[in-house]
Amino acid sequence: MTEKSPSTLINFFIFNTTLGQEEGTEHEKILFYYPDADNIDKQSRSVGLSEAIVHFCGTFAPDRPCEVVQTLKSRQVFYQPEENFWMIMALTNKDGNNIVYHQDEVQDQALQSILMLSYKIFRLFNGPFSMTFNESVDSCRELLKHFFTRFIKSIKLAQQDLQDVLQGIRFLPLGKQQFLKVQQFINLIEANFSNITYAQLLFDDQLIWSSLDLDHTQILYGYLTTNLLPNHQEAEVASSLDPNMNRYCLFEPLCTVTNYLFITGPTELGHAASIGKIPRIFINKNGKWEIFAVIVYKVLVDVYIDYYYYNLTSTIDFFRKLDKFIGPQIKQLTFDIAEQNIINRRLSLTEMQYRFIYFNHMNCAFKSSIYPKINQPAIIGPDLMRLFCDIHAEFDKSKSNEEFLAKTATDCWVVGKIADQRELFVAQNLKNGSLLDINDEMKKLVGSLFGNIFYFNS
Amino acid sequence: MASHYLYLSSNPIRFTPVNQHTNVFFDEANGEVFTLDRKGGEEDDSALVVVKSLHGKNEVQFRLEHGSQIKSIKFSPNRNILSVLRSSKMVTFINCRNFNFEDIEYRQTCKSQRAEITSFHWTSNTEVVFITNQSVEYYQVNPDRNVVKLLKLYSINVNWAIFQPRFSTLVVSSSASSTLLQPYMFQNGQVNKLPKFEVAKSLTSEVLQERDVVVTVIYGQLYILVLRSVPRSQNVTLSAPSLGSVAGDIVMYALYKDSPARVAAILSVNIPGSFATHIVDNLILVHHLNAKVSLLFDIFHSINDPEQIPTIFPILAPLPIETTRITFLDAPSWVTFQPNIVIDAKLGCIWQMYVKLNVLETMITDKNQLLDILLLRKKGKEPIIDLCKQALTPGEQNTLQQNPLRGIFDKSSQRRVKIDQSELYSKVLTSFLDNKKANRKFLISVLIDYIRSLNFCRLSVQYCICELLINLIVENKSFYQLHQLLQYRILTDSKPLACLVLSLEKAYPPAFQLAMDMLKRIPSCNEDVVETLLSKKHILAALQYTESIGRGDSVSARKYLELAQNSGDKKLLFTG
Repeated sequence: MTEKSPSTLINFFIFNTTLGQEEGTEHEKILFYYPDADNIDKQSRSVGLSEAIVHFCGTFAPDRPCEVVQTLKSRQVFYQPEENFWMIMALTNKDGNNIVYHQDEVQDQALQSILMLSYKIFRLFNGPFSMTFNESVDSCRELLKHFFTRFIKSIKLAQQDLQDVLQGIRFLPLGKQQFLKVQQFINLIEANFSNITYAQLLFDDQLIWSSLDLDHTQILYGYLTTNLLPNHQEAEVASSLDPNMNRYCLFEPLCTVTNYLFITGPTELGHAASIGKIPRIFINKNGKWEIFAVIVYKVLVDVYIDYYYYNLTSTIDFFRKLDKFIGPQIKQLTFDIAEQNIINRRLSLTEMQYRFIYFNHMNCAFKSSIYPKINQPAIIGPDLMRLFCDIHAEFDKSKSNEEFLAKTATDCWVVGKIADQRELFVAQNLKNGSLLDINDEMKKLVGSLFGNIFYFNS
Repeated sequence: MASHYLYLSSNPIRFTPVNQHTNVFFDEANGEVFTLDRKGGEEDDSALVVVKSLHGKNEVQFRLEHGSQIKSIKFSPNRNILSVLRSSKMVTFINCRNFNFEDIEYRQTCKSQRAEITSFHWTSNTEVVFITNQSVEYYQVNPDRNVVKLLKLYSINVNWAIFQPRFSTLVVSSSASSTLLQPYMFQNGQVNKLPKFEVAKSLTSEVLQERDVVVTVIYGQLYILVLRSVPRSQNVTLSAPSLGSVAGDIVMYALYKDSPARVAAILSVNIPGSFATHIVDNLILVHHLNAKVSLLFDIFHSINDPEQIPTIFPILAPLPIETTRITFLDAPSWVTFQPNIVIDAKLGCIWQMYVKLNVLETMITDKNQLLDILLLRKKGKEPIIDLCKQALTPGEQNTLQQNPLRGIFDKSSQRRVKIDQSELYSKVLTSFLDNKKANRKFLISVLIDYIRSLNFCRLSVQYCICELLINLIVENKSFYQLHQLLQYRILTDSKPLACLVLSLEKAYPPAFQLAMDMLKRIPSCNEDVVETLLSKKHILAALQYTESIGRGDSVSARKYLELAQNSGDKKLLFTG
């Protein structure tokens, strides 16, 4: 399959079923509608049709709401994030101006994950729909419009791949002792600064520790690694004369390192005015949504510590104190971690022999040799990636331990395996290889990479 | 607030006080006191000898002729040979088996002509060294044949000599000012003559006195301590510069077998007037005779860098010794001996000096310093457990940095106190579980820090500690944090731990995976993996696993088929 112009978005809307119950007031259901060029009649019709489908499906499978509606020309994806709220996205299957329809170009799963992700990001920064909805329907509409108009622009339908679907977390492999030192450090911060409630430590875009729960960790990790930090890095590269200099420091003894700084928070500790805008997020703490501020503190090029803390009106004194506390301690810690990381990189050469993606549903751990870095495109072809995605979608439906073996036209074997909530996808070139050969190769790979975990061997 | 940190043993060993008929000798090396009673009048010079031991050995009584001439008397370390110095020329030996003295005495005169024996010391059960004013003579005693054989003779001008029994080391002062010291080490008939060296002069007098020198072992290292006091009167010109402080110091020389002695540290005493020292549990006590106070020094954490000579200050403010009836150092007849002995010959009492560890807690506010000190003490365990308890008690001003549990194992290499994990668990940690006031997050942090220090010393974490941590985390509902801890394998794998994790599955579904991972890592738990899978009705997976570990042949087909049939899944039954 060759690259073609991607499917295009027909519409994207959010509605609430409790509104507009009376005949003639159906348009009131709509909380957000894209494109707003569609007239109100068209909007109402789309919403009405979707709601009808939802109701229709509900009678057959009350436990599993409607997910996708596929027609010859279009596809519609459904997502119910909260009770009475529905998010719907529709796409055309049409390939440009040709009258050829590609029904399988973008997986349903990938589309659903876009909806889900958009909702989670919204919730992170604004709280759940119902929260603002219950306050005022109008301000809810405002908020949704503000958020989703921008979000829709950022949707890249063509680039969806397994990485985006899985939304995994890359964990930094770390020795026990270093990990415990990190623990000690984080615990000290949390104990010394009573208004810091949660902390996360990232190294080289990889997570070391998070004191949030998995849901929040996953979404925040995604936000930091794909949004906040790359943006910051771009800005830094643009402003600094020699960005490679900084990166080099990481591997040198840390005697010269002084470049700690707050990414959110004050740019200069001397100036109270430089605190700037600090992102606020909503975290569900014991069933209640609470607002926290996110402070990101950067130690070297690749080490970030994030703190989520209560006090929203923070003073420059707080930042100074925090800087003074962290600065000296993080130095040695960073050095220890960096040292181990170099060893890890050497070790990961074995991983590089294979082209694989590993994902564990239980902790969202993601490991792969086919993405040079986070946010970068995979080094395998789109057809292989599509195969991965298809197998993953299949796993998602069946929910049992399974294994898929496929051979592509280019003599490449693709293996997908799910066991005990862990998925593994491998692509391997094995000229004239038989099923037995690839099975042996898989055993070798599982043995060398996942020997420590329980993984159904077969 | 306690006002003493030193005390004397409450039950002193009593002996007949010194009088015109009674002489008393104390053998520092064996810790034995000899009282010689001559009540026989002019004609009968025999004496009744009573030997009492500080180390709990039996009391011995016997009669000895020529009691009035005895200048020194001591047993060999195993008490098989009694040795007596009656004249300055010879030492008499009497064999003694099960406290029955043989009739035969055998003697050894000193080899150097015109020399006079000043003292003698047993370096082993059969080896003895004589110190004369002109020589050091090393002999082997053969009690079976009643023969004494010279092993080695060193001609040296001896001002005075001090013997240290633990390392069998003799330090001889030989120059005119006495500051040139020659150490010898005796071992298995061999003598190791260490390089001689000059020590610091006294601050006030030109001659170094024997009483100002102490040879002792601290933390396994041999030291010579030169006590340099300053008189109390104001206008004194010092004959040497004071190193530690203006008013008195102690210069410590470390002695080595194969390299020259060197100054290791200077203790700052800084109170005018003379003083004496004791070594108790590797702590240096300095008793000030006039001020009637004592100082406490610990050198352990100061002597790290051989390039530097640290000046060490007392741990605590000077305080008097706690005494029962008599004020220590008031009586002029009191004499101090190494390592911790005080004798009042007129009263007939021997005391031992001790340090009260349990009061240090109230005196030392820096808990880390306190822990450092307690960890090095023989009886430090109880105060440490108290300290840990106090540090976890809610309401106390406890900070994480100051928490003693953090560092217990960090300084482990030389620690003398060993607190077992289960002991810490039962004596300290469990008492806080029921206390609802105790901050869970704080307890978790402390525990993780404790695990870090265990891991630092390559000790595996015992199940009781893992269980406690997991219970706390579960109570705190921080499941994902538990997940991360298990993911990085902070807790030592064990079957009970895996079962505990498995039991959390209802509250936290990923626990199943974590438990299975752990079971798989434990070689002896293959059966448990299979059973767990079967209990979850993962029949195929159980079969696959059994096959993968090479036990496919031993499978009971009937069991699996029955299970498959009961599952009601026809497809599964036939696949199996």
